[in-house]
Amino acid sequence: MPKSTLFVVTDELRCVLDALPAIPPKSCLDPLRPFILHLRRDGRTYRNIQQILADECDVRVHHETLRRFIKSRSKPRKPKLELEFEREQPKSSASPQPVDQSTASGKRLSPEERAAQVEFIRSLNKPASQEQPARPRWNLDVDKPRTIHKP
Amino acid sequence: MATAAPLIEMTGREAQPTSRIAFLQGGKGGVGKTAFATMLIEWYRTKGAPVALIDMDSENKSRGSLGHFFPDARKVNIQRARGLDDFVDVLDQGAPIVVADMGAGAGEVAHQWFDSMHEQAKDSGVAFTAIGLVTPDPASVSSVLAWGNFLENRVDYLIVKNAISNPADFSCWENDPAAIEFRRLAQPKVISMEYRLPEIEHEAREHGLTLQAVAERKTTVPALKSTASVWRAQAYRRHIFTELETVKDLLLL
Repeated sequence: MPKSTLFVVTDELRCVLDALPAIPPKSCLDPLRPFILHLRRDGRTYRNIQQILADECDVRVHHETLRRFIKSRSKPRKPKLELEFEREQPKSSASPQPVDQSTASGKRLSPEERAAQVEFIRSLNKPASQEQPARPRWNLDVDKPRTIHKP
Repeated sequence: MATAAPLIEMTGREAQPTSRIAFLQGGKGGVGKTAFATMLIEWYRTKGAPVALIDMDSENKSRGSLGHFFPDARKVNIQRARGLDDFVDVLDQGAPIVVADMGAGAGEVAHQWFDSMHEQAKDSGVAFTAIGLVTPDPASVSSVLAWGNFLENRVDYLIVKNAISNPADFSCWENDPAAIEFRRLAQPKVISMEYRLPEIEHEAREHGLTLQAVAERKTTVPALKSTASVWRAQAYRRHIFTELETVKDLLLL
């Protein structure tokens, strides 16, 4: 009897699954998701993040869109349904599960996510624009005698 | 299941790196490697730059290691045949910037690894920044020069003058003929890390707290909750962040 979350998949269905194309990102913000969530967890406002995205990543979205995106993407997702393939031997619960080393210590980025990160980091390396000129420093000449100004 | 394509670009030499590994040179202990590393990581994170952390300091106690401050740091034992291959593994997961804190005794391992792997890394667009810390102690200068001797021109150099005393006398670094020659040939960028009160630094280290945590009052440690400590932490951060901004081309892409 399969567990409630375990679905037995036939060979035909497995072929269908393998042939399915990857789901394209639902939002233009998807590739920037880790970056956006990081900014939000840093305590930045939606309007602030909106400005950063516009300035640094050339992505223009309404702050309300950003709010909805963050709300929906930061909810814990339901775990994926476990699929059991018909021809696979049942695994002993004591046997170690194969672990993909690339994800064992952290999420592996997609090439698009990585390209967005590289672009963002490069944008940080640009010289700051239009720095305010520093106010000239006032120096006191202690050797100069003080004078009383009479109107 | 199909294996994902490697994320390290293999497109030949590029003018602009696609990844950077900033590593704290091992060698002389107690020069402030981990203290600087924590501030560097805070700087990256304050800017929103994603950064992966590798803790290669096998000699540092659990309380002083990078992982003590940042639980997401990947602890790596470099005393193995594969040496620094974890650099490649982390880059292959997609991290464009890696900060690695090396411990004492890492020199020989790094030496061998650079000799055999550096060309491939460079061809893949990976740039290296070797960060050396000098203190008034001449041994720290010797350590930096020894690393420079084998790293040669394969890396960018960032030297941090860490004032562990007040006032701090860096005359060995400034006047030693070998150090002068190193500065002339390797053209390192030099920044300074101002003197920090031991009662703040030691207490923060003891509790695994970064300066950011102290500066933002995210601590219950009495000695670090006082307004004076908070202001000090804020000032230390402001100073080092200003210094780091002047060398950001060695730290970003």
